[in-house]
Amino acid sequence: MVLEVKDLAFSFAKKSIFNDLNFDVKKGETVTILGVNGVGKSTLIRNILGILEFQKGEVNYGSSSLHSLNNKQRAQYIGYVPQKETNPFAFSAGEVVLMGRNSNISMFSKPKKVDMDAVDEAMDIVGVSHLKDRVYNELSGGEMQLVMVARALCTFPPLMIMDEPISHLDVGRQNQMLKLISMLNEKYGISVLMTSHYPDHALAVSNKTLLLKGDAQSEFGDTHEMMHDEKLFSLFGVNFTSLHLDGKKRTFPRWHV
Amino acid sequence: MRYIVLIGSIVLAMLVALSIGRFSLSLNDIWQVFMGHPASSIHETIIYDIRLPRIIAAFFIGASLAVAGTAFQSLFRNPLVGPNILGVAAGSGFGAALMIILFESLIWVQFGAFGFGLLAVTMTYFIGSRANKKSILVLVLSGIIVGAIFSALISLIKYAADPEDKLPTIVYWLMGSLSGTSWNDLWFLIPISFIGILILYLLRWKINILSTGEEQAIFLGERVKFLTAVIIVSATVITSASVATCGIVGWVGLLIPHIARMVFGANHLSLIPSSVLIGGLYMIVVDTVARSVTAAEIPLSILTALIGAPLIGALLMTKGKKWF
Repeated sequence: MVLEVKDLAFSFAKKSIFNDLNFDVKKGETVTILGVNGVGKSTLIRNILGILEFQKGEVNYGSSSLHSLNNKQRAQYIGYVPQKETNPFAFSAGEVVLMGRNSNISMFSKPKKVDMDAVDEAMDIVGVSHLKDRVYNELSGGEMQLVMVARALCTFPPLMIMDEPISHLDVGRQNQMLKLISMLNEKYGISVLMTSHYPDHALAVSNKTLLLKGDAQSEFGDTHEMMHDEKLFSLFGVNFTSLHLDGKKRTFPRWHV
Repeated sequence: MRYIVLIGSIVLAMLVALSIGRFSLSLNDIWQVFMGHPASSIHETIIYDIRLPRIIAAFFIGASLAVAGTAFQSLFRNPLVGPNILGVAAGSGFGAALMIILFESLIWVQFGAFGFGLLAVTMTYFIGSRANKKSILVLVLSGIIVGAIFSALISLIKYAADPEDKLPTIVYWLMGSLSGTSWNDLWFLIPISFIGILILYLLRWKINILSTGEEQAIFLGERVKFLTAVIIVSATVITSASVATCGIVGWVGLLIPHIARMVFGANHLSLIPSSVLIGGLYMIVVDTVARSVTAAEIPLSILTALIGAPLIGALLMTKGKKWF
């Protein structure tokens, strides 16, 4: 077990956001968190990362409780890919990725060759080596997101958490990101927990899916079971239709236009 | 290579600064003094007692203000803050003015300025953390509040001071000058400045991490609060020691980080050492101009503002779109 969330309860401003929330991520697995805007997908991630303090329940990284780890140990366990990240200063993309190695660099130290090599390897895997010397702030939104993935990957952590990694990407890059996630699972044994707005993306890469239904309700299970047309209708208020393409199940919204 | 050019320029600036002034010395005169057989004892006095301490002070003050400015800009993720953002200058100015009216002798001025500079930032930190421990913006606002209080107190002292005797001293001190800098001033300035700069230099990688913002720095595994405190204390102490030595000199800590960034890039691994060197060089040049272009010395803050403000303005016009 790479990540285990048990009986989690979190409320904010007297409103219960999560109650008795349970799910887990196993080694080499991808889990997608699905739900409408504002239902608390990012909030859940912030609970898991220890930025927000939940009131009840447990979050375990492997065999250690979240609270028994310091920031450094947490960073070594989880590579986090934020939704959007800018810096007022003109760092190069390579320098931004290098910052991902920070948890291996002690207080009065600076990056060593092993850190630089890890940066090259991570950028190569993600497919952004050509951006290394470009100024990060001048990249396109999609390029920035890929650079963030390389930053989270460069310590090769057991788990990567990605907050909507696909939302700002064009179709070609969507495919690139999905391919990358399944490669992280299969080739590197890295587990991925991601949030998404697209049920079809969940079907493409995730073994399990967590549905956040609002009113502190949630459901967790095998992705194919969760991508049931009725479940998706009650989640989004839109009808979905499923079909099989290239031997895989796909699901698409039916626009009421 | 860029470092060699920079260090070469500093040595050159020091030599020029040693030679020019009301009593000009040739390179040969300077060489003879350093070799221990000066042509005249006046040469020795001018170099060892007057110009050398002043040049060394200028280097350390410029280096301190510049590196403190770089650290604060990164910490607050704002390219337009300077080392005085947390109220150091106003606090130091008040401390100095207070000592000037309280005592006949000026030996307490340096300590008063240093102490009240630190006190002002402590107050800022206290108000900021009482209001909202997590918000760095609140800290900046607290700095403005504390700065305003001490500025008002400076005005009060000026208003109450004897206009024949004390008032000119206060006004002149507040405008900043290195005239009359002695080795005693250096024994105070150098150890503090050196240790503060060294700490910021050793933390230069971590300053990269903190410049990504508090939350990102936590995700990247950093002890953000502890590091922020260490950096604020170091930057404040060296700023305060500088202001205590030469009075309030603005714009150095705002301008130099940008020049260093333009030449060396945003990465603090090279930005911190280059800020130190460029800041030191800049201050040696400015101080030499201040004491040699006119018969009377020009206060430093006038020169640094006249040079610094237009340059920042030019930078804003070319880079403003990126900042706002």
